[in-house]
Amino acid sequence: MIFNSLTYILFLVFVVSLYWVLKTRSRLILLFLASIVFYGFWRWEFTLLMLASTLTDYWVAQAIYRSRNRSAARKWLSLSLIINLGFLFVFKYLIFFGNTAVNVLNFFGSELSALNFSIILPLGISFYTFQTISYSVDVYRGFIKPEKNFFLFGSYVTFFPQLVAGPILRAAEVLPFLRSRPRFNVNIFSQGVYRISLGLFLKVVLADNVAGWVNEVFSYPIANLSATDVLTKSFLFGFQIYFDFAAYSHIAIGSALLMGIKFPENFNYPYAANSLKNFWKRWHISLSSWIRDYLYLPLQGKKVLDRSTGGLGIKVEGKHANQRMSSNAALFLTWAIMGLWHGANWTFVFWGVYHAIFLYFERKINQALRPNWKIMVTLKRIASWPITLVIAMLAWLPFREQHLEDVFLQFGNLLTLQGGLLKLSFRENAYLIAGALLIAVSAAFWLDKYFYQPRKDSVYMQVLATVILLPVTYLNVVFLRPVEQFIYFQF
Amino acid sequence: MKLKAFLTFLFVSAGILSVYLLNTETINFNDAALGTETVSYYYTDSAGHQVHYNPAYHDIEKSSDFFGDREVILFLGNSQSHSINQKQPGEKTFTGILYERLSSEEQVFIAGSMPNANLQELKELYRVFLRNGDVKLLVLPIFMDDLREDGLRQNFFKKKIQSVDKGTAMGDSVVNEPFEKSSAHQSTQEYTEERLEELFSEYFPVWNKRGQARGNFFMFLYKLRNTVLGIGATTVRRMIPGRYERNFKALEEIAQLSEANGVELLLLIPPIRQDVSMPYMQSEYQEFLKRISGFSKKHLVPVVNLESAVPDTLWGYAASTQLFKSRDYDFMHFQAGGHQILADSLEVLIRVNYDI
Repeated sequence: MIFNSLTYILFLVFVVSLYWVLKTRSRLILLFLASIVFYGFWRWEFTLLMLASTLTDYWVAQAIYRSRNRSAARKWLSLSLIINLGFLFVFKYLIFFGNTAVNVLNFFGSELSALNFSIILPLGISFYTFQTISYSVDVYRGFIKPEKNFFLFGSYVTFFPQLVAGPILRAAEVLPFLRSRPRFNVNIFSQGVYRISLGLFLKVVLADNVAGWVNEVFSYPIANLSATDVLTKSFLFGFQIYFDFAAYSHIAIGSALLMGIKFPENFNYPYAANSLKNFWKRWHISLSSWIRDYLYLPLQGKKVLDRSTGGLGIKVEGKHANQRMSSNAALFLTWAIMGLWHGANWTFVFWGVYHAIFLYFERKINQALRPNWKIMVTLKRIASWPITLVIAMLAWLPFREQHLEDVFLQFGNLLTLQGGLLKLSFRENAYLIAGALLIAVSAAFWLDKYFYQPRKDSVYMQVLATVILLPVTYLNVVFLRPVEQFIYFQF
Repeated sequence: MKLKAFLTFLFVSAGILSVYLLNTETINFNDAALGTETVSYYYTDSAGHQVHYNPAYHDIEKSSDFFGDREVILFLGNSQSHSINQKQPGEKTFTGILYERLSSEEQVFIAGSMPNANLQELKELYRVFLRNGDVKLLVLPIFMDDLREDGLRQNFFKKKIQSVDKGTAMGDSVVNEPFEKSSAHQSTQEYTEERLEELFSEYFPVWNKRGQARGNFFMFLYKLRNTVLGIGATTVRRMIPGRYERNFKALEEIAQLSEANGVELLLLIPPIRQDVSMPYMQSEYQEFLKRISGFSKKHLVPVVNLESAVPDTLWGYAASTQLFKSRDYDFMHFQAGGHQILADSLEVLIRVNYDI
């Protein structure tokens, strides 16, 4: 079921109404069944796959907990990883790796044909797989005890607001809410309504309308694009994917709040970041936190955290007990895997490596450049925002293009300043929209940080913050059409 | 915090209510740029047969009965062919006049047009006419302005394309093609969404006006942009390379279709207002004329330049595309006298060159 639809709104009203009149156990059964229905509205047959993953980790976690020694526990954990990652591999990566192997063999003289079949990517498989893996790993690490109540555990894994595109939550963050019986609180409920309204606005009014322009500019022949065109393309898609994904997170958080359940934030003005490291503390925070705790830090043998906040850039204090891999090697490997998680294509791997390269240089520059003069510090702060923004936006090119050669060609056009800065290949509105969105997003950040947050408890601010809901709701109703999927559904 | 909760519910309710209150006016967006001086006029003959088609309004598939065994002389264009500035009762477009002069038991003159129709759209329209009639000659004006347009609009064909409100995007992502969606499978959500749309449309009339409200919103943004940036009818508009090339590719395909179906092709450089400077860069307009000339030589297709055929006195004004301004120069539409002149010119061209 997709959020930007009448079906979801009516579904949500029905489930939330029933949720508040039921007792705790019945609530869990309701949430579990509602989540199955939510998923089944896309394809019923794939609910079995999701349930298989859920059941695997339900049993495996208990077996890990009952294990008498670490070795036995590790075997049970390996079983969970093999099953979960096996599903992910078959449905998401089989064709990619198969065709890559065919290409390599053909390079050495074989004459094999490329795999000529398609596999439907189960909705949200990358998200619920990471969630179930994190649960078993957390039990193995002793962070949590396994949950005996299947409906409670099942509700955690399949909880419909976050099922298909996150936030990727840790069991310790959600299970207490599901286990307890939250009391209805009108303030929390209204926050939920607010977040859903905001999310719908970002999706149906902004992201879906920018999508038309993005589709157009990405359909132009690449060879003749100027540097300005390439930048405009990447900025437009950067805004679309931000609005789209932030919208999903807002609606997910809002839907959970309607049931008194609080999710951690998944976005925090990522385009206001003044370094790439800072960007990854603000963008898809739950994924970068997951990658941090289940891949990046373990690869280095460092102490991990137990929360889906902070992102990949967080400074982790801890022992270097058994350093397995250098920090730089871990950085590149983590980012290549992070890219591959997003999609089975070399363009995504390149996207990950691109981030790793800039993060690596950022580290080196920060180590070498420690300005002592106040003016230099200020200059560095001012210059770092636009530089970070351009680097982050350009990263969306490999994310959106289908072929690596197209990406390299455009980076070439950009670096050689092809056509000068004044050659414009798209319709004028594409540039105007990209510029207007940049101004709007920057203004939203500054207004929130320097105007709203310091005064948010005043009556005046409360009125001002809510009065925007009038035009926002009007536009949400007028633009509500399930014509564009959320981009992250494909991951 | 209670206040914030109360206000949240209040303003969300007010927002929903305002959808009911604000959507009373109906605007025909196809004619929105014409202004009060110019009207759309899709000619029908005295027997009520549709002669001038707009694919969004008229069902072209039904036209084959009307054509019968007659050879079809087809004119495809934009709103210039279906609009008359300061129209008086009884006045006709040049397509109407040509129908009356050129139609007989052996042949029939037919026209098809849409506002701002680009060549990709006209190619699709051409295919429909080729399917439904024995087309002998295609008369095709090439407007520099319309080469800035791209793709097929959502409501291009009255019956062919689903309404935007009912379209859904809940297909499957297929591995290796992340941005493609399979259309064969209808999900439960798609089914439910269609039923809910029907239900809402039946019981909440305002639900059907949401398309109108979206149009109003975009029209406001368009006018706001023009007002802020001072964009008007005489503002020079650039050629857009990607769109330009796609439209010329469509023109190539039109030529191929004509060759494959044994249809003669006649290209026109259409009339344009001469008393104020053209809203194009001179260098780009000259390149456009050169490109058409090159196309003509390549495909052995005649091109007739009619850009100054309509005198200055026969042009008018269009609705302004800015806020707080009522009218602006109209570069596209002329009075009935202009239609008469164009009809005379085209009649001679067609009769002399095509043995009609």
